[in-house]
Amino acid sequence: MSGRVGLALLKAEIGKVWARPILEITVALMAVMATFLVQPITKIVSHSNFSVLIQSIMAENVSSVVSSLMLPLVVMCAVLMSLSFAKDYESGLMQSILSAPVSRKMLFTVKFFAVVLPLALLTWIFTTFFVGLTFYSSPWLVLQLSLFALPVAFLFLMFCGSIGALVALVVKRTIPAVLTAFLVNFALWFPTTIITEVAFKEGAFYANYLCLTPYNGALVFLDKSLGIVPKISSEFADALEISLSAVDFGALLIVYVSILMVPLFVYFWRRFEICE
Amino acid sequence: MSSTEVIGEFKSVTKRFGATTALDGLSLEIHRGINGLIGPNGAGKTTAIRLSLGLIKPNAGKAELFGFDCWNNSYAIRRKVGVLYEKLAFYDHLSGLEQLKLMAKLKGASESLVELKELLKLVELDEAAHDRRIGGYSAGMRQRLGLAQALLGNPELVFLDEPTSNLDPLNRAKILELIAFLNEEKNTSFLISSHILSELERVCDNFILMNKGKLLRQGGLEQMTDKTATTKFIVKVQPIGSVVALLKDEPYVEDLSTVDDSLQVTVSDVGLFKQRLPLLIGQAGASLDEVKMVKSDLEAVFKLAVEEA
Repeated sequence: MSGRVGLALLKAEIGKVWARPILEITVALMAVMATFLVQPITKIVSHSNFSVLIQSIMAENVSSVVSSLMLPLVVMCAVLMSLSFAKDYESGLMQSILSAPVSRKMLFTVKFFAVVLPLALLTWIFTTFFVGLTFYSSPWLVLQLSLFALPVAFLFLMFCGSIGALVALVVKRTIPAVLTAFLVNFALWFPTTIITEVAFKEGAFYANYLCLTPYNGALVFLDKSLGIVPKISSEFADALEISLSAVDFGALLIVYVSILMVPLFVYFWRRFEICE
Repeated sequence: MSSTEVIGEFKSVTKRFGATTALDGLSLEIHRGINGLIGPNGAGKTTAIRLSLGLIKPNAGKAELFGFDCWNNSYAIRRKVGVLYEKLAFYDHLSGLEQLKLMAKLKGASESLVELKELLKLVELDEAAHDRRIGGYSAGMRQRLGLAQALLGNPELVFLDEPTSNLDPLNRAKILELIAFLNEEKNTSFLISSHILSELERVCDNFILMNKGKLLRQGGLEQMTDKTATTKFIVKVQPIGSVVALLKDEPYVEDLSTVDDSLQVTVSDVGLFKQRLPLLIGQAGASLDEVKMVKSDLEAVFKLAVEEA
């Protein structure tokens, strides 16, 4: 019964969140970003004698596409999640839904999945499509490698979404919540643009910790899962990015998500008051 | 179908939002039947409704509905009630029928299209609008859809917050008829919050008058109006002119006017007026045909109670 109710609610939420033109904007944004990462065919030809190298280039391509999609994902996730919570609170829809026999736990979960699931799926589809554009002759391998993007995207979208939801539940006003969630996520995403190798070379004190930021950590987790060797020279062999394993980075991401999600979930379930 | 059976009770409920006290030790009873919740803007009516549904938690006191605690057992309460808020919100991308089907699913009510269409017919939502996106509905149509949503699954109690605010007088009357019909035929109880007191007077059998988060009065119309001593009288005398001249000089007369062949007098001291009137009529050489007290209505009760508070 509750599963059926949850699915019906999820369908309605997805329809609301992804109503025109949100889906179109997201797809366009992701397409623009991913297009830049299509590998030039000459690069493939030059290595075509080595199937192992092809696989590693393909893995790097998967990593590059996911990395290029990060900005649109961060922006859309923060905006849509805060919009979903704050707008529903402000418009009275949350009040209306919670006046029916719907549990708060279910509404919270549905709202999260309505934003995170389509974005994670879009990430996987885009990765498959854009890596497949170059490596169309090995569709199964493309599919296999691009699948790694799914859990990584899911985890870091949960993190971005948690920030969006947290801001929305505190601010409770649509426009300020959307702007704040966007700015906070953007500020947290920004360190991913710093190249670790350069930071090390310049002796920056934070260089060793860049890989521990939620967004960089997600990319390192993906790279390590795909077997990509970190782009840090051997002189920094004890750097965390090299010494920690894929499992460590996966666990770190789960910890980041849990730190935000669990208290937020409990707060919404037990204490949040709807008094708009 | 009025009854004295109590289905909900607030006991010294206090609710604060920061420095603002929305409910200040509020104690009231919700009876089976049609309850009218009245009070000026900011009296705490909507807060009381939200608190009944477990959307907000009281800072102090206890609120119960159907024997369930409103905060800790709100799920059990929400299975038995329907709500129409003043602020109407729907999934605007859905059609009216789809929205109703979704809400029926959430409420565990029948999702049969025939029954849902029947319900939309009951609230007189145009058949052409059933399959149209709610985003394109007028305010009146949204109000009807909200009412249909509130009535889904034959709830025991329906909260209506300004149910007729977006409707024209003709449709307002129809909604009131529907409320009376549902109460009579299906034994559905209602708690109606409205500023249109004349409408509430027609349908409600229990009134709850609030101001500044406190209960001012509660009871049936008779009980409510009995407590308000009338100060207005209609006096029929022949001839009228000489009596008017004498009454004008009386210090307790606050307002005096002539309507057709009768006098309308508002006094500050009813006892003195009753004592002096026969004397004045005799002095004027007039004859008294009739003296009527103007019965106090809900609006007068409302004004007086709020002013006193």
